[in-house]
Amino acid sequence: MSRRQRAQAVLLGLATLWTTGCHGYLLPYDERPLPAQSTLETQNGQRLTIAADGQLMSRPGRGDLAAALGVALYDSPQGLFVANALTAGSGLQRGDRILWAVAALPRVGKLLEEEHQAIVQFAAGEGQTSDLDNYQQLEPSSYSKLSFGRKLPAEAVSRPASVEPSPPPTPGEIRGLAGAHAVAKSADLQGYVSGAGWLQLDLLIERDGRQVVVRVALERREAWVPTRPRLPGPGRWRGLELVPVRSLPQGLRPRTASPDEVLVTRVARSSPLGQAGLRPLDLISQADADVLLGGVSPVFTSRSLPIQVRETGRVELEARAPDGRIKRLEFVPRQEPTQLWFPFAFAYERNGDGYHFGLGWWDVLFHVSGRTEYSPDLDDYVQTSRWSVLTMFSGGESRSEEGTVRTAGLNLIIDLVRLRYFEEWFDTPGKVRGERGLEGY
Amino acid sequence: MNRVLAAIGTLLAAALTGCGSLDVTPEGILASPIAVAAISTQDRVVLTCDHLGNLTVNGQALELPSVREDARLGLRLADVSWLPPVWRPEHAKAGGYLVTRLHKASPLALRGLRPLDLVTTLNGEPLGEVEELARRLRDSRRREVRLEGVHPDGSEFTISARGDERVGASTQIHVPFVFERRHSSLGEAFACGPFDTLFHWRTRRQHSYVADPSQGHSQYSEDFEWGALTNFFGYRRRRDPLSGEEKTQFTLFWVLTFGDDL
Repeated sequence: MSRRQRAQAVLLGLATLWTTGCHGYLLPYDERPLPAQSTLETQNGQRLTIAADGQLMSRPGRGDLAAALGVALYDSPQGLFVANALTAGSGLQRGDRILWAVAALPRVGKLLEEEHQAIVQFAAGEGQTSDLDNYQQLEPSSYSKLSFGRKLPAEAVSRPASVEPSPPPTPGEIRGLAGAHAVAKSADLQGYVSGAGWLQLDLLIERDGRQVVVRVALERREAWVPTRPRLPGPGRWRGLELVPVRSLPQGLRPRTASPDEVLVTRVARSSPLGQAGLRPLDLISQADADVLLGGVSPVFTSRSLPIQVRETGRVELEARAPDGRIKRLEFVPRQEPTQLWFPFAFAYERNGDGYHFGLGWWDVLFHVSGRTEYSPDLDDYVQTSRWSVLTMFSGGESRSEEGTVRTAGLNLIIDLVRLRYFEEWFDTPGKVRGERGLEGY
Repeated sequence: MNRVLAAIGTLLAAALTGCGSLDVTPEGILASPIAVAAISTQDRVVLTCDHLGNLTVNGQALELPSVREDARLGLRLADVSWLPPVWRPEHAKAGGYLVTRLHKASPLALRGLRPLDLVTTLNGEPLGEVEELARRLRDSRRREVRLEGVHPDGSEFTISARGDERVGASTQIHVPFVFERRHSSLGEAFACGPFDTLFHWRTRRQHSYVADPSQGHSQYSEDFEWGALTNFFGYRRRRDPLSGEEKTQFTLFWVLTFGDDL
């Protein structure tokens, strides 16, 4: 055997070893925070919420028009007045009287209607749903997301040149605009707060005896709430951030919480507690928090705890959701990942999110794998599992709140399980980098 | 050579058996129709729903108190009492809850509920606040749910349904040359033989789009079909679940049809 042939043989051998069980099939631990399922009312009437990056934020109470406008308002028999401008650049001044209002919407309504009609006519004319099953293809709701199927007619995909609102009207024009209405009290404008963050209002106001139109933006005024998490080190490992209610400013404490309780402010997607149903803004007891973070062993606590550690290692916990619902959660605390493999023989891998076991080279004899992943669309976890025997007999299951999808069968030619398996294997590094950055992998 | 071709042909036939010819997969949600809230010569305010169940105004999502029961009813509702009155469509001027997301396999959709319908009562009682409604919807799983309300065209409705099965559930088993079996919340199917040639049977609730705003541009039919020997003998029946109208058709020698046009 020549040196070249020997080198090729060694490379082939190494490639074979590499592909036998020593690859990371499972996605790494996902530390991204779960979103809160609702907001939590505070003692001063604001709401606590969780930002996309997991920070605790406070925002004004639902329908708080004055906060969205950045002013203080007062109702009087003469009408709605601005008591004070609380932020620079709000456009309103102390003493302004609000007379009329109209939303400054981009003038795309007609276009949206025509677009919708064209799509519906097309879909109905086809009489089929197969090409249009993707809901978003029939959703003319967002220009940034418009992406139509290949067969749709050109008139259905016409896009506006601009989605900017038209310039503010003059005082004489505003009353004639569609959707314009008189304002007598703050409740007349309250509904517009649902569009805070993107909506602008054209307000006809009386200022110093003159009538002028002012365009004001309704802001989603969120403020970061600095917190002091308990035991951040162990908390990070467990995918949790717990903040004692007592450590929050008095006004920002949850209205229904006692000072002895602990507020959950962060739950990692891969955390077993997240999979069990714990969500940010849930409340738990101080004693449970101590046990969760590993500060106190449940064995040595004197009081009767709702949290129970079973012999199997499963833990039971009680949490209170923002709507007052009591949640009983059962979970197995996070464990170190395990990876065992022996070339040509078997591969075994397990972490908090999934497991994988295979026998034989490329798992051709047998393989079973499963994983749990958070689905933002469902705001719930989807559990998937797959198995195959001799690559031909294969099956799988996908379990979510919407139901369980099961498949099983015999594939003589197309090894679907292995195709998906390798697809995921190749996609995983890119997917993780894209979603979580290089540190996440 | 002939043996190779025969082997390839056989393997192809085997691979294609049970690969989706009898689809009953319950995927997707109903496309939202639109509602026009304010009309002028200049422009309109158009309300519709996005795929997450947010109500939108001229394409921009609104933040409204909402309730969801995705598992068995496949339903999301938004409280339009928090909308400015000028943005509310005619049928929702007094407030209430609008349907903002509906799974295609929702039992309520099969009975005629559509996105942007206004729901006013649940089991004969007013809907109440968001938290209370969420609790009542949770408690109603596996029980009969009766919704009353108003369609966007102003017609009133009363719809009763049970969420016995999860809306996205399905099962598929197949063995090439032998059989294929599918089951989902939208129907079930069975076939035997390569390419389902010996016999096939399927029943399903089929959704399709129609150019009829009063139906929310969606309609369902309950289909039943069977065929034998590559449809040498065949039978199809289509029933409108709302009107009860039924059409049937027999097929003989592949091309000869008897009965109604389907």
